[in-house]
Amino acid sequence: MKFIQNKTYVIKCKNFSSKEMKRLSELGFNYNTEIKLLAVSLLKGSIIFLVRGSAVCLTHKLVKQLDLMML
Amino acid sequence: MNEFLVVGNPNSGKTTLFNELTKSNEHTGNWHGVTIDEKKAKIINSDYLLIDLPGTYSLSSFSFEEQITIDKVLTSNSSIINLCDINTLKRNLYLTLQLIEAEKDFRVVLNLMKSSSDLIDYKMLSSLLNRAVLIYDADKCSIEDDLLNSVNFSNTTQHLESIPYISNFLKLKDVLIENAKNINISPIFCAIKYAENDEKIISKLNLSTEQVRQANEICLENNLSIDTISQMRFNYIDELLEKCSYKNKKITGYSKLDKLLLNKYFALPMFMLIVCLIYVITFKSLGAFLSNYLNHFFNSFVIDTSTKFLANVHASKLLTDFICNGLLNGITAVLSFLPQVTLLYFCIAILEESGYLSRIAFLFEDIFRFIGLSGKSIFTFILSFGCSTTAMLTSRNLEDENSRVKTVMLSPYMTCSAKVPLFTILTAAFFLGQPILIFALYLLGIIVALIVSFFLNKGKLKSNKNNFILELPNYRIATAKSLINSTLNNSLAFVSKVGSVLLLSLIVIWFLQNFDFAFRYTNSNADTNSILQCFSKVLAPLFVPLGFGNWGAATALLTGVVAKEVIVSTIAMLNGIIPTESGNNYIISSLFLSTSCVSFNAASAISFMVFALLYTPCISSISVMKSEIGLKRTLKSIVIQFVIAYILSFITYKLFSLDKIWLIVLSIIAVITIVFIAYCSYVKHSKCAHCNKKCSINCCK
Repeated sequence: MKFIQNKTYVIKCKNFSSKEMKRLSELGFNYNTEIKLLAVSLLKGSIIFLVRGSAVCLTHKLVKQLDLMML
Repeated sequence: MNEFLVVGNPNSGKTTLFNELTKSNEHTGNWHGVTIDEKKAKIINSDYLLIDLPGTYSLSSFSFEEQITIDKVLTSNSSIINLCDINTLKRNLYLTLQLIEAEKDFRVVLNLMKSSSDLIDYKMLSSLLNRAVLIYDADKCSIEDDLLNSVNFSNTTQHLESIPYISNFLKLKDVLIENAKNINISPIFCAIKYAENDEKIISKLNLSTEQVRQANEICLENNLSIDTISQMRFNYIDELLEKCSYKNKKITGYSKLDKLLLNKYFALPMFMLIVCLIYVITFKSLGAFLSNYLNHFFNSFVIDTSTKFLANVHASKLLTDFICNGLLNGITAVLSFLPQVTLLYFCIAILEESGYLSRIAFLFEDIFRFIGLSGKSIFTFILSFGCSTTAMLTSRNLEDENSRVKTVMLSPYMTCSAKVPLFTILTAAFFLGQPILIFALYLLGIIVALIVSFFLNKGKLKSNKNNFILELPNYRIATAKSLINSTLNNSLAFVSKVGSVLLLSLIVIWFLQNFDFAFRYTNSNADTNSILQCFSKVLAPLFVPLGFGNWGAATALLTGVVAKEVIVSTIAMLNGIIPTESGNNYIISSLFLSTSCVSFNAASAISFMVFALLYTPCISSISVMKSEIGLKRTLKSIVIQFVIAYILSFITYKLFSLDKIWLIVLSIIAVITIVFIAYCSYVKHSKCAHCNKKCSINCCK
C-alpha cells in the first residue's frame, strides 16, 4: 500500500471486532468511509488521517487492518 | 448533596469548566489524557458537588481511565454535564447519543473554544436531543447560573424510541429487558451494547443460553455489528447537524504549521530545535542569570545577615552551626535554582498548552513501537522532566498494560527538576558550566530508558498490541492564566518540598553529622566520628570503584533517596563552609578541597552525576510506582536502576580518568557487544523462508 499525502482513501474493512477496530469505528473509521491522508512519519510507523473533519493518528499496523483503497 | 458529573470527549475542556465553576486549580492541558482520575469540588455559591471525570469517546472502555468514567456514568443517578467541543461536534455527539441511549439525565454544554456560537442553532439542537443545550465561552461569561437553572426534560424514553436507528434494537431489547432492569441499566442501551459485543455489559446481564441464542439471531437478521451501529449513529449525527445548520467545515487537529512540524524530514530536526531552545533558556541564558542573582541575594543577605546577627547576640557555636550550616546553607543551595526549575516548568506548560505534545507522540511512535512502548508514553516522559512522581499517573491513558508498566518503570530515568541543582553545581565546578554536558546527561537518561525498554520488551513485559490511536488537538496559543497557574503550582510544589521534606531531612542529617553515639556534639569539621560518619563509612567502599568513595558522597546519595534535592543540600551542609564570598562559589570551591567531606575531581564528578541520574528514585516516586505497578515490579525496577547506575557510573569514571588498562578492556567489551548485536540482527533477518525459524537461510532445503 502506497501512502501519499493529501490522497483520499476508502475503508474496505468489514471486520471491526477487535477492541482497537471497535475504537476506530467509534472515531468514524467505518466501512466505505472516505479518509484523507495528512501525514506519514519518517519510518511510516504512524500515519495521520482526516476522518469526519478531525485529524487522527494511527499506527501502521491498524492502518493495514483498515484495508484501504486509494480513490 | 446533589451531584453533577462532567463527562465529555478527551480534551473538550472539562477540567477548565470544573476549575471555573469550583474555583479550583486542577491541571489542564491541550492533549488527551490530562485527567486520569475523578476530582470532586463544590460549585461556588451552591449546594452542588461537581465531579470531573476523565475523557472518553464512548461508553465502551478502552483504557483504565475511561473505565472510571463509564462505571461512574452507568452506576450513578447524578445529573450529567456533557461537555462538547463545538469544533468537533460530529465526534462529540457520538458520546451524547450514548448518554441518550442510556436514558441519562444530562445537559449538553457546547464549549466554544474561541469559535462563534453562530456555528450552530443550539435551540434546535436542544429540541432534537430533548435535552437542555447551553453555550460555554471560557473567555467571556460564566455558565454557572444557566447550568443550575436549566430544566430537566421529561419523556426521555419516548424521545429515545423516536430516534430512527433505535427501532433496530427494539426486538433485542425485548429479549434482554428483565436482565437489564435487574442491573438498573437502560434496556435499549443494554441491547445496543449486546450487539456491539461489549463483554462487560454482557457478563453483567447474565443471560440464559436461550436468550443468547435469540439475541444472536436478531443481531444476525438485522446485521447489527459494531461497525453498522457506529455508522447508524454517525448518520443520525449528520442528520441532526444538518437540521441545526451546523456550519463548521474547518479541519481540526491539522493546520499549516503541521506541514512543517509533522513533515517527514523536518519533524525531528524541528523537535530537536525546540528542545535545544528550552535548554538554552533554562540552563544558559535567562535561567543561569536569574539563578546567579538569587544565589547572590541568599549569600549576601540571608546567610551573611543571619551569621552576623547570631554573632551579635552571642549565640552558642552549636546554634550558629545548626542555623547557618545545617539549615540555611542546605536550603539556599537548592532554592537558588528555583528560577531554572520554574523556567523548565514554564516550557513544559507551553508544550502542554500549545498542542505540540500530541505531535511529539506521533513522531516518537516510530521509535517507541520497536522497543515496546506507545507514542503516548512520551507524555509521561516529558512530564517526568518536571517531576516523575506526578508524571507516572499519566501513563494510565495507555491502552496496553505492558506498555503502561514499562512507561512507569522508565519514567525515573528522565532527569527530573530536582536533579537540576546537582548537575548545575558539578558542571559549573568541573566543566566550566557547559550546558552541553547537562544536555548530554538528559540524553543519557533517555537513551538508557530506551535500551532498558528494549530488553524489558524481550521478557514478560512484551507489548503484544500496537494500538496507537490519537486524535490530534488544534494548536492553541497558551493563555497567560493557564501558563502562570501551571508553572506556579509546580514551582510551589518544589518550594513546599524544600520547606517540608528537605527541611526535615536537613535537621536529621545535621543531628547525625554533629553528634556521636553518646549524643555528644562533635563539631562536623573536627576529626571525630559522628553517627552519620560511622554509617556512611560502611557504605563508602561500595563507591570506591566509581571514584567517589568518600563518606560524604555516600551520605549525599543516601539522603538523595528521600528527595533528589537533598543531595545538593547535604553536600552544602557536610562541606560546612560559611560563605565569605558572593555567588555559589563557596560550594564549588569546597568540592576541590580534599579536606572537605564531599570532594571530587573531574572524572569522579561526572561519574557521580551519572550515578545520581540513574540510581534509585526518590521515596515519593517509589510510592506512586508501587501503587501503579505493584510491589514486585517496583522492587525489580529499583534493583535494575541501581545496577545500571553502578555499571554506567563505573564505565564513565574509567573513561574520564583515562585509565589505559580499563580503556582497552572497555573497548574490547564494546567490540564484542557490537559483533554480538550484528550477529543477532543477521540471524533474525535470515529467517528461513519456508519454516520461518530463526536459523540459517532456507534450512528446509
